[in-house]
Amino acid sequence: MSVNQKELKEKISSSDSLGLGSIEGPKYSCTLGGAYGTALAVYGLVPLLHSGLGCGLGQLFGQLYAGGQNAGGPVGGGTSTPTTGLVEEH
Amino acid sequence: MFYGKATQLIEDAKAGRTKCHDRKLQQTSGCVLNFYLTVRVSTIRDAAVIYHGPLGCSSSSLGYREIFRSVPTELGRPANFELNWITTNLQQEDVVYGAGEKLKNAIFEAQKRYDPKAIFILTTCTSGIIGEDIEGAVAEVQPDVKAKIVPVHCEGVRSRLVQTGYDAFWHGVLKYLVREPKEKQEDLVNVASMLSYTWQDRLEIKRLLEKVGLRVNFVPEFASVEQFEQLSEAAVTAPLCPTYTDYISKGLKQEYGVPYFLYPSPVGIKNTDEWLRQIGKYTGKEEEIEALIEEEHETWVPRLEAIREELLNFKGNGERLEVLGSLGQGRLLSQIPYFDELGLKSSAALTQDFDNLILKDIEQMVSETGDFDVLVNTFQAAEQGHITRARDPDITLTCPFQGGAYKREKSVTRLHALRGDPDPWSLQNGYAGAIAYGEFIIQSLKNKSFESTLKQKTKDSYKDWWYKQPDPLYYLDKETSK
Repeated sequence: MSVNQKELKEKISSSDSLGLGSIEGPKYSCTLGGAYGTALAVYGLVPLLHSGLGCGLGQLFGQLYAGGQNAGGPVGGGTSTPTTGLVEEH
Repeated sequence: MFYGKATQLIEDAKAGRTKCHDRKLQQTSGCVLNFYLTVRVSTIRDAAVIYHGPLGCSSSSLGYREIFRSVPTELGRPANFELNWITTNLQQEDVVYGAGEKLKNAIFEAQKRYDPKAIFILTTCTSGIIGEDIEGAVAEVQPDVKAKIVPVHCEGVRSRLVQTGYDAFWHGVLKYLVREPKEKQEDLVNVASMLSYTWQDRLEIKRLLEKVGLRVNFVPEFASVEQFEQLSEAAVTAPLCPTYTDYISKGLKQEYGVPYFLYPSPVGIKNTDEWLRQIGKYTGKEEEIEALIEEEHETWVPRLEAIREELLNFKGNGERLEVLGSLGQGRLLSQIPYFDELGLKSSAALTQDFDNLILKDIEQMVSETGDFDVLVNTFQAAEQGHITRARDPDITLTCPFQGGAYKREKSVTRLHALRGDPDPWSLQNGYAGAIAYGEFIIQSLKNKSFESTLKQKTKDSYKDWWYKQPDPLYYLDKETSK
């Protein structure tokens, strides 16, 4: 590692406040993940994700499966969740 | 997006008239990063993964153990089951000022913690939108990092087609991992396989090829970095799914002269015969393969005939059972002839994607099995629910997690299982798979208590008007087209 990079690394490490730096394998998800999981758990509530297409399914595969909630339901869970499906042009 | 006759679709594709529309209502269906890459890249042995994005984008990785831990080590799943994974956890400040330094730091950290042979960097919508210079960061730190760094450009906003992620991944592998061939390994067969083929499918492929003295190089799940490096030395690249394999197959051919074929996949007896023959052709083992086919037929064909007999007579009025399957275009090609082999009738099919990759083969297939209706719709759940209700087939086959919500009296089961399912009855590839899946279908017809309980106890996901109006593509914005 060059001197420059060592300095750089130290600088970055010291500027990392708790929870803001890189994290190894976090067992939790982002704020969208939390709100989505909670909305699904409420009977009769349909979440609408203003996000990319995968933000719902991504949480399903990870947080929700691993947390035992599975697809949630009876409406709006799993692949039934409506989304705005943002892509590049948006 | 398309709904109509397969022959019409082929004609449109030939004339370049196939169109992509916006939707007025969309449902979540996986993105370039999250449908495919997060779960699978993390299984690569002696490697580490860095997600350059907000924390939630890597959440899918948490499903890793859920998906794979049920495969017993006795069946060949590596006992070392550690997942080396870091997320750069982008914050508001990083989005404003850029996070290249954070990424570099994460690379050093991954090298220090895991001492991997390769570090995969997976990009996200956020890193794409802020225009992060990933290649620049990689070029800068690579000289100081022992592991080979492989950036994969899989920003979710790039495309609504999750299949773009396959190409992005293989591009990274080809560009950074595959080595100049040291020496050709004439008995090595590359098999790139999707998650939708189970662990038992792997074993069946291995069993068949090892019988004629060939070795299988399975990528990417649970492969070692060495297995990626030697892709260029194989005798041939064989497909399980043409959509999934085409980028790597064509890349290996173009750069290193490794021959490939995209059709057929080894699903059903006839397709498996042809798949093996293709491999025989490229490995100079034609005679051994013919002997193998003959030997296998003796065991399996009588059993397939028994299943066919039962399915043909199931209705008792001479009519065939109607099946509706959700498929990718790869499965469209392999499954429909297989359903025909089983004595089922598929007058409609759903497919996730369609392009000109396998146009000739689809045309050939349609001419053999007859025309059918096809819905190309990137698996929107409501649209699938609609077409299932409207056509009311005897058997509905769903994709394990992209099925949508169905409630019906008639049979509903899965089109395929996932890699993490080690049960022999989930097998679908090769000869043993053709039988196992046939028996699976029969069972789905015999026991319907789950379906009837579900229908009785729960309400429909969508309101009545949705099922009553005639167009499954109702929400398509027909004005826009791309």
